Amino acid sequence: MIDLYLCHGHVYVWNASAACDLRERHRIVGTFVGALPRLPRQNVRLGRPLQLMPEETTLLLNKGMARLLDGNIPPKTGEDAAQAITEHRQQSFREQAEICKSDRKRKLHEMASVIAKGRAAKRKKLAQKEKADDESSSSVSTSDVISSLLDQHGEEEEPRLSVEEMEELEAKLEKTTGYNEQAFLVQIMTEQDSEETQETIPWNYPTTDTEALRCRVFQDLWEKGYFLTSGGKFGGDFLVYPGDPFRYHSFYIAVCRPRTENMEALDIVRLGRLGSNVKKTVLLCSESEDGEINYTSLQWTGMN
Amino acid sequence: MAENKEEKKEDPKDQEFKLEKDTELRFEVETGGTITLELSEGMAEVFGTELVKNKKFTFGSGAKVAVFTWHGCKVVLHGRTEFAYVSKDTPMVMYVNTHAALEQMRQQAQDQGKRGPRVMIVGPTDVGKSTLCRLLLNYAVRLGRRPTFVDLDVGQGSIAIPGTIGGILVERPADVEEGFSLQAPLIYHFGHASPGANMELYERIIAKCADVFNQRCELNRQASVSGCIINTCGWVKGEGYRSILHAAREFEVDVIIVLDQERLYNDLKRDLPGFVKVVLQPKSGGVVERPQPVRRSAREDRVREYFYGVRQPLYPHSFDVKFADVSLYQVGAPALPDSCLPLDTQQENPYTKLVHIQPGAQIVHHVLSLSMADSLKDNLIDTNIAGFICVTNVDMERQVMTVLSPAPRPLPKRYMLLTDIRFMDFR
Amino acid sequence: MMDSYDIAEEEDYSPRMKAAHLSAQELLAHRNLDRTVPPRGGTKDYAPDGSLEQEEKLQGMYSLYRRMLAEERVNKIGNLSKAIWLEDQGLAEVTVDKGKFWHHIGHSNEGKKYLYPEEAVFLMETNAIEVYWNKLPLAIQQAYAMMLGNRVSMEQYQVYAHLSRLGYILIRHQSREHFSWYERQIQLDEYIPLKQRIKEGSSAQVRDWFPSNQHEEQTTSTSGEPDKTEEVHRDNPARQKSKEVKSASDSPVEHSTSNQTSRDSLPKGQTSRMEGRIEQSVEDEQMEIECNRKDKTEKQEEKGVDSLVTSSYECKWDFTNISIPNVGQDCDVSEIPIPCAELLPTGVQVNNVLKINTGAFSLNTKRGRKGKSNSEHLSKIVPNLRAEDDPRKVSRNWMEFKKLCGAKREMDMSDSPVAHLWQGEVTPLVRPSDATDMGAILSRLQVIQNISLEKECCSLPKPDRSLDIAYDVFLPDSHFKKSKPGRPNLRVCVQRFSEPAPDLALIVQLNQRSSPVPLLWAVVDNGDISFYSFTEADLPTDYHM
Repeated sequence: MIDLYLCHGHVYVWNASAACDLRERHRIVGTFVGALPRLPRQNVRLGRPLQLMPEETTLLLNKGMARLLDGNIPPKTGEDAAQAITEHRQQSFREQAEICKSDRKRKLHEMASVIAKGRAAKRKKLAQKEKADDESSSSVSTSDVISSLLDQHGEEEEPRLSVEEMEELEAKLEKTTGYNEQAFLVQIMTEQDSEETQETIPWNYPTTDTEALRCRVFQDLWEKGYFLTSGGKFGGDFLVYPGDPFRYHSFYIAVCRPRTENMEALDIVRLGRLGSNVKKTVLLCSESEDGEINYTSLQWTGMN
Repeated sequence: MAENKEEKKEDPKDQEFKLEKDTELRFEVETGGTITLELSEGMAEVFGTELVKNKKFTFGSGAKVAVFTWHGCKVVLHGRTEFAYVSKDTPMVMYVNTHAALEQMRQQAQDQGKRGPRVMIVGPTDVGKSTLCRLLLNYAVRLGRRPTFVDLDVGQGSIAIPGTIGGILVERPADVEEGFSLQAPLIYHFGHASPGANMELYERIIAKCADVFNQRCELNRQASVSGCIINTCGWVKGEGYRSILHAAREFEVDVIIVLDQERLYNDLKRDLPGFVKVVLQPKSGGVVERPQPVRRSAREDRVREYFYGVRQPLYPHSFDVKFADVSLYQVGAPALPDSCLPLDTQQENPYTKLVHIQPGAQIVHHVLSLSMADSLKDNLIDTNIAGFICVTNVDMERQVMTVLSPAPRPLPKRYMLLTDIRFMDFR
Repeated sequence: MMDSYDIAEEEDYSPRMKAAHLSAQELLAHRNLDRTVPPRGGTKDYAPDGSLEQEEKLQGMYSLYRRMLAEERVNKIGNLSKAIWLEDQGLAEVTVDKGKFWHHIGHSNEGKKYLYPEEAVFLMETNAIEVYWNKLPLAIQQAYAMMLGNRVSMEQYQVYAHLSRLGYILIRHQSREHFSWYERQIQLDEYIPLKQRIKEGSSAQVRDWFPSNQHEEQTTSTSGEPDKTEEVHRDNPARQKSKEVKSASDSPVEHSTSNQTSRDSLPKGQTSRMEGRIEQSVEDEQMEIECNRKDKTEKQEEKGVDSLVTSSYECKWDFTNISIPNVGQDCDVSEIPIPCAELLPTGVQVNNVLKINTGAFSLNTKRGRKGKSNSEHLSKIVPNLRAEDDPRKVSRNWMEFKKLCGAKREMDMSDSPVAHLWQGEVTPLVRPSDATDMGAILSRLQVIQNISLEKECCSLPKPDRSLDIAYDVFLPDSHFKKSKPGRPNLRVCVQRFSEPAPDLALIVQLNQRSSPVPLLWAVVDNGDISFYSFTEADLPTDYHM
């Protein structure tokens, strides 16, 4: 069961997995309207919440695939709740500190040989410098040359840190990893904690004949296996896709018209033009007396 | 050759000239040099301004000066001259008689409570129009008059910079070195160095200028009685001629002095109403024709003087102006080609249309006029100009331009008009 | 085509899904999140064909999405700002300010920092702030429920977030009542009738030229001058002489006007009118020719008024006494006299009479090689006329001349063979004189005028609902200052897709309020946002008509 939240007249899905399920399993696309956490300042891909069209909501509720909850219930408050949050955070901080520390330790061990090499190089440099100082004061003796040759030979071996050295470094690490609260990570929750006991609320849609027709058309096309999105940008009621809109272009622009309504010739011309301009077929959708949805396609035919 | 010449002039000696009565010393300052002039004896004047005895006057590169004496005098020149000679043939007596006649008219105007003489000086280029203007203005102001000098010569722009016309109330004789003091001038934007670039606009700002002068005459009796001297540009054929007639009509001139061209004189006599006195007068023998490049460089100098001063150096400011803080306009939309119009029709006046332009690389080195307008409610074309700035750099990325301005930031107003006049600031 | 829905499948995942509280391990893992997003678009297939390849692609997409959507917002405490939601005020008060957002988001009041609900929720969504309510950190789901909806509609928030995510800076629309600088710039004050503007314009357009003390100057010059000239009078007999010569030739009436005092009092008007009449009688003969065609008395009256006006400004110069040197060939002048010394400034002293023998001056007497005379250009200003009609000959001053030139043009009309067309009550719209260009004629013929929406707004009925501009939008700019935002680059209205479209009156009203900043309408269709704008279009005029 998917939870839909009605909030200020709009229906939202806040749970990520629910939003994906809607699409993957129920072919309900909706529109993401929130900023995407990984890259919030762009409009190419948006994130939660997923906003649903009223027709989508109606369908989901009719099919019993979702339930509608009141999205406007304020969170539980009080000292307890605040206390719980604080404790949860403190616990998290401790764990974070622990993880960090062990991370660093692991890294230290990984780096041990590098550190040892660095130290050896340093030592050698110092020695050479001292030697150079000596040479400037006294003449070079053969023994010096020999000892320096021996030194070079000794360096061929891989330098290693002694156990004492290692312990010393670990102690240093312990000291520098302070308990700095500012560095800890916190989460800005997207979804609120849901209440198991929350009652569902009624969905008062559709209320007008036009809305009812749209809902019927939406459901009928959906049942036929199509994906549907809002058609506002193309001047119709819905855009109808043969598969997931991620991968396919829409075939049709669905325009809902009551069966009894007279259409002006001008309307037909407009819709025909529209369809041919965007290379889609305009579907005129109406409901027959026995509740069937009739589709009439409109195509501009050039005849010479 | 050139080297020889220089060597010869290596040590310029003081040249002393003794002038007899009614004679004139004419000299030109060598390019790149300066000349100091000093009156050591007697009385003399330069274009109507009396020289003070034993005071040194300095003239810069290329200046052409004529020292005239009514009484005889001695002057000393220090520095290199292109030429220096004394001439006896001057039309000064004629000019001074002209002044006397104008003065008579001023007296009559004063006595009758009417408007003083409005004089326009016309003629081809390089006949000494502006010199004659200066002379007549100086004589008038030396008699306590307050004549108005109107300069319609957009090529020289002696009141502001080339590309403008303007008027100024003359209250004291012109400075020997710097010319008339340019306090509170009335300037209108034209934007080009030749009136032919936009005759419609030229005539419109002339009309506006005349209108303002008339208003001033109503308010200021002395200015009204003293009349005005109008300098014109040297374009006397075709449309240029038409603009002379137009200016005469707008300023309601009483006297037109034609310098040196009989044909223009005859045309004007025929075409102007009978009550306008048209006279023909000779040019001074000292006037030299300037070839086009010289005229152009004189224009540049004029702009340089605006920013850097003539004798006393001015220190202009350079600062950045955000595009957002200014509104730049150009007068005149590009005209449609005739082929786009049906036969025998004219376009609806694109010439005086204001076109908003976006600052860009194309305005670098251009001089911009700062309009006095506070908003577009004041038509920018008919609003006088507060001053000028020169664009020295445009940074499209930062959306700013760097400007050279005579005053420190900020700019007083936001509306600006683009001119064709360019100035490269090489200092 | 597709598998029909199978209810049995449902049971597989009926257990309730819990909100994802991340463990410490998971929190730390979020530090190394993949920060890329799959690009939109890409090649799509035409239709599902049941192939494994298609299925794999789709499943790949699904698993990517499952991963991406399940990710949570995780941040270091040190990087997170904190705020407390104040339910009663509908604001979030910032208690810990860590982010850089304060440059362009939020406002202060009495030393406290506040966020509007949309700002707070957006910052939560962008992982920048924790908002607490009753000491509980809010989940975004709770924030949607508590902070949005009542004060800020969901649609408004979605538009805010959509543009903010793109980097625009949005502030709630600031409406101002008074005319600010930029409102003047956008010509809201253009509604002053044209006439009034012209009246103000003539003086307003000339600034700083008239010295501020012009009135003082005027009074000193009028009171000071007469004394001075009288002094000169007494001192200088030569000048007296010249004056006498002048007055002898002038009419006695004019002579009386030389009295200075008359200028300020009644006699001035009288004398000038008389002057006009006398002049008129002198030139009566010419006048009669002039007025032949028109009603004589009317014309005379008109002229009388003319000269009354003009004579008070313009002198009638007598150039027989005022001699300006002229060396034109038509003038038989042989010498230039010595002018009166009193007309010259001190220091100027003419010693000799100047003899004019033609060789003395280098006069340019060349005639143009081409026969084309300048008079051809003149015909545009003054039509060629018979001598007695020529305003150049008849008029005595500029005022008359201009008037006559104008009158000439009108008379030309009455001369025309179609003059009778203008005699009745109904007259043609276009006069021959209008035929300067096609545009002028077309504008005369245009009986139905286009209305400008901006200007004719008042004539439209009141908008049937009130809707305000929601946000002022600024381009991303590091120099943006909240305290001095300047002029926005855009403004946005929010409109629900299901709502009726705004009516013309509302569009005009809001466009006007926003002008010159473009106003966009954000239309929100179930989370999808499209932007539209309404602009008044000027139809081009076709000269080829």
